[in-house]
Amino acid sequence: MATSSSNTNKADHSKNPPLTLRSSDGKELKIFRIVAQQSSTIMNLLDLEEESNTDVIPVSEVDGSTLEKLIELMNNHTEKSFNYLGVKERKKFYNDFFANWKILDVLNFGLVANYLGVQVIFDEACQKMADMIKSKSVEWVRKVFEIKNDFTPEEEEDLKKENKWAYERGDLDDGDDAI
Amino acid sequence: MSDHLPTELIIEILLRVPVKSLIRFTTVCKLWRSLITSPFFVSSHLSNAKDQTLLLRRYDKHDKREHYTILKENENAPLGVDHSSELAIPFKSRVGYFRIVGSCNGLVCLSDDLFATTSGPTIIWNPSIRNHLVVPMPSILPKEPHLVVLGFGVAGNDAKVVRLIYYRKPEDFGFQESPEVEIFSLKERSWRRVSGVDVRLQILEFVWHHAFLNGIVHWLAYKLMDGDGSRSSILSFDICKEEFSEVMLPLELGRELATDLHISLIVGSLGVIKYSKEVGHEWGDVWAMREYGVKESWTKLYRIDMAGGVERVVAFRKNGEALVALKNFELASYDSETGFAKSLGVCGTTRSFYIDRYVESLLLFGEHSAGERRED
Repeated sequence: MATSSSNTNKADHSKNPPLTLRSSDGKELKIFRIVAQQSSTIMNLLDLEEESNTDVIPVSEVDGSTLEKLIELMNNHTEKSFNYLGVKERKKFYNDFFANWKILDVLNFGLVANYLGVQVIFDEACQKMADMIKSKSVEWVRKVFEIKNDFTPEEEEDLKKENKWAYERGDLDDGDDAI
Repeated sequence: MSDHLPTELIIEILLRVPVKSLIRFTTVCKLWRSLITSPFFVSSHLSNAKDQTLLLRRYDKHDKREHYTILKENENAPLGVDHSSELAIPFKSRVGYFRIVGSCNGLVCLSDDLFATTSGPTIIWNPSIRNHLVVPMPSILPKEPHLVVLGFGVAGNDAKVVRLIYYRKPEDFGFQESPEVEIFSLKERSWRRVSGVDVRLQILEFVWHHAFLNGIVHWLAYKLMDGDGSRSSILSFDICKEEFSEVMLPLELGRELATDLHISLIVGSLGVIKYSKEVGHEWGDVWAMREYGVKESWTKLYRIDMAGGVERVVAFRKNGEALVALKNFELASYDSETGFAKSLGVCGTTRSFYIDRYVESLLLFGEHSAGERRED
């Protein structure tokens, strides 16, 4: 966490003016310091910016729309009531947050959370992706993540034969709604 | 390989995927296969396991088969039994059902030595990925009368079966004090004798069973004292260090006959149930060793009144509640406050019930898969 001499009102966070983050596409978004503390990267960037005394922190790796959603989630996290949520309620909260998202958007969101060092949100994005892929077929996974199949047909056939039960069609749901 | 999927991210996602899907995803591409089968991934996936589940085994005398089911632990809710979650068991014991030596990290060790006069094979089974290994013939196979005791545990990244052979004393039908010992390790894939064993404790023939805690196997044992007496105790074997030791029981338990005691795990501690019987009255006292290795920390937790049809204690839930087998062949949860046993709607022969912590794991991936019958 960054500490600096210019941060004179440490005790009263509401008096601190919010920071301004500028996304890769020029969008400027406000975020309170106490919320920004969840991101080790923002804190590091803040450290650098303090020296040049500007208030705008460029977050050049992240587009405005994603940054906005991330800040919204980070705001939720700092609310007292959020920390009292039970396991089931937290699960429902994230299910609602990610409802109807396409998997590549969740992926992008996870990568951004990782880049900004917000571990909790990164974990939740990974969990969401795990939930989205677990009932999918091998072909679906390759298509969505653009993975080249480097097994020969014989190799693939032999491997599948060893664990036929894991490929039972009945469990698989390749609905394209997640793409 | 797509450029928007860094390996670290793939790993973080796959760590949260259930094992059945992971098995399927080993055929996505070579990278995914090597990631999923790497020892680092297998142990990380294991550490990530959050669901609290239990493995239940029961023998149904009507269809004459044993059944393995997964139960979900729900904090304070009654235990949910989902019969649709039954696990397929690809082998059958010669008679009745298998002895479950122990289970750990998703591996279940079975031994076909409960009902037939000769010992059958020992099997290490991972039900969640339908793979198993038949343990090869051990090296110590004496012609003289002897008693075999097994132990199973996973520690130090290896799963091991320990085998104790106690020879009968020809003069009085008792057993030699110290056993011969050999170990089968999953890593080595062979049996290896352990020398320098100086164990002065004996284990009850046939009814032996163990509790596995902190990487150590614990069997209820006894020591013959001069004269006619015996003192009950606990013989322990550290799976990693391959060393024997003794865990002392308090006087109240030590002076009981080993046949009246049963070792168990209760809320993360070693536990012992002391069964008592008087005319018209039967009960079981549940004890737990609050601090491992500290004899003074053995504490009596509560008493189970068995007069209402309780036959024996099977296991304990996360909250310490006892799961008991009733004389009418049902499994029930016992409320120590009210003294009432509430049936869980599961039937089986009383001696066959087995319940233990269970977790899905990828251990043994690559061994025989379902469909391959074991050789008799």
